[in-house]
Amino acid sequence: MQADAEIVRAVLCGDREAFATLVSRHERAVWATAWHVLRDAHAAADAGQEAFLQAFHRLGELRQPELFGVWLLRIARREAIRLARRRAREASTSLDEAGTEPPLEHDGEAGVAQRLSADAHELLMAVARLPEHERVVVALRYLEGHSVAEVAAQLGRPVGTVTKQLSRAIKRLKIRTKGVTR
Amino acid sequence: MTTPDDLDGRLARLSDEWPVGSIVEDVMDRIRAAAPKRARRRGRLFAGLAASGLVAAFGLAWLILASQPATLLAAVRDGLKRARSAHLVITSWADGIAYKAEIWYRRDDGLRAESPDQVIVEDGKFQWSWQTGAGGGELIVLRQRSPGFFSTQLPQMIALPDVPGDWSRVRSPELDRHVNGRACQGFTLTSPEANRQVPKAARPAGQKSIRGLVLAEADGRIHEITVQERGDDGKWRQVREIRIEYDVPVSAERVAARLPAGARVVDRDEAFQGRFPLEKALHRVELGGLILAVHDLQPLIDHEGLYVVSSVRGTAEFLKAFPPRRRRVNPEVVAIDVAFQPGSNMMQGAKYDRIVLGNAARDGVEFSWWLVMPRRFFEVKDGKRVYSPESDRSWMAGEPGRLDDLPGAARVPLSATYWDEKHRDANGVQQGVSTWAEVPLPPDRPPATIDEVAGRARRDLLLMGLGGAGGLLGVAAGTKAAPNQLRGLSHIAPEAVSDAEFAAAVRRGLDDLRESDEVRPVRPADMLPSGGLGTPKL
Repeated sequence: MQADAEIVRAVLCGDREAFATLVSRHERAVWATAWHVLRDAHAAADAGQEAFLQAFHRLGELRQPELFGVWLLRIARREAIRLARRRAREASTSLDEAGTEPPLEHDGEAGVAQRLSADAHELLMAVARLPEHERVVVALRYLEGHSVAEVAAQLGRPVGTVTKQLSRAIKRLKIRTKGVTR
Repeated sequence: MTTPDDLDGRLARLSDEWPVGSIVEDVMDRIRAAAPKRARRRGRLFAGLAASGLVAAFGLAWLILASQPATLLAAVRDGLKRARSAHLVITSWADGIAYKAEIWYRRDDGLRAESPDQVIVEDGKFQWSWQTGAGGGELIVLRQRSPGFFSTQLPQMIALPDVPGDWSRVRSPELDRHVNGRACQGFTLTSPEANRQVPKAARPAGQKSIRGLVLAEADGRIHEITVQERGDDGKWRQVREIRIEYDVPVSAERVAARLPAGARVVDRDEAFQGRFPLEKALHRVELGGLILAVHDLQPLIDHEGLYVVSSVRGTAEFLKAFPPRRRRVNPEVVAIDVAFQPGSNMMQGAKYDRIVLGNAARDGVEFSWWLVMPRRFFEVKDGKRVYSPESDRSWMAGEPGRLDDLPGAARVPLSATYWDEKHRDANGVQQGVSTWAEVPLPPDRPPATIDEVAGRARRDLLLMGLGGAGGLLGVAAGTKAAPNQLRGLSHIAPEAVSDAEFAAAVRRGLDDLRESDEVRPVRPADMLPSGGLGTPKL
């Protein structure tokens, strides 16, 4: 299994199709990051796409390729904030022009909540609030379904480090979703 | 109530119920019409306009003139060199605002490039550049040896794959017209994406179709390129236009290095290399083909730590064995990647914090301005911090317990990471070197405050960071942190802040790190195996 850093280098050497593996690995963590800001499934997917494109175009600026995941999530958060601001501006503009434009359709938090059980929704919010490095390992381990050894290989970290990060993340998730009844 | 095993199952259910589909194909479809760009400093309008204009111009020229990249380079270089002179006008539109850049070229004399905020003049031996935007500060003209427009910069610009080779070219007779008094033929270049006729509803959000309209003489010499983007209403709108006139009158005076009145000329090579020459370093050590040097060192008051200016560069043997990559940063700067020092605030080993104040790199040498400070461990009791007594020992092997226990010298941790592709471990992680050095304390460096050394770093970087070579780093006022994270460092222009403002930015970074010095007593429950994971799948 190729590490993120190896794939980053392959992309920089011209193998742009290799980037698909990075998208596949991190798309759920990216979407959760953007959704945490936007609370809109479609908008979060748009922001996620923009984040991946930004990451692709700025890949040469990434000094530590082994930190691709964390770097990507920061880009995703910035993209989501940028999109949220733009949507807020557009919303105020459409208010000024009330009656001239059809209302924007958003798949807001309610939309996601309808598609997820209450518990999964609560857990998604907790995952989205994890520190970036923990969000990366949790997403790879639980949302993408990789083993701990695979996650370690992908991130280029020792298995022990990944296990510790998962352990800390699980503690946080337990605290933040404590008392949820299902 | 949640139990550890529950979480495994609950996360699995979240994965099963995941509310959105994959975006892999959408992302890759958009990427296939582009390719990664090399690192480029932000905020340089000229770089964005002139470089992208040239890149687009020559990238498209290649599609018309030749089928091999080598021919592209030769064709473009030879074409421009054959012309006695040339005038390029590059106009870009963003959010309805037009940005214009012009380049005048005169064979054997040089070129002059002007954008709204910058002028670059080059005569083949030297390059001068200065900012023309508003600002009340001293006007500085930077001078440096010519990076070599034809030999270094132009090929690198062309190498940027702005227009991929898979764009299709169609002869468009309806576009034929005279440009610059020359009969030109029209061509339309379109991306594969635009050719696919994907229904609007099926297109990823925000995706725009792009096409290029090219007018060229029968011999392939391009006179005009228009890049257009299709809006949501289906109409094509101009996003960039490049017009090239060949053999037009360009006076020698136009490309001469006429510097603005009252400007101070700073030689960029001297400014960078003259401040901290290697032969005057306080200490230098060779490790793994790298030379690590300490150029300035000053204790902080109250034994709070040390202020350090250090550098890393390759030995001659190392550079021969591992030729560094040359990377164009902007039309003025070509970076040479050899090695770099830590660029962010971090814990240094077990006992110390490292606070980065700034960095600058040029000609394969990287300088770093930083503080190393002992951590101050504390417990929170009754809502108040109770600091642990200082210890003269470290539990980490090889790490000294104190920085200042040597008469007339200090212990300084030096480290650097290789840029090259050979020095990687099995997982591709970049390798590095590190050591603790015993560095003599200069007699003229009595203990100082953080404010004082931050001010000195700022003044160093006012000169050494010129022209995009480097800058300050600190936590800007108002920066918010995500939970359990350090606030991010911002790049700070030395001329944009006062000493006091920069010192405050440094202190914010230190405060963030010091939050991590809290010691929490270990409870019996913490001794149990971690919950929630079950048995890790190995």
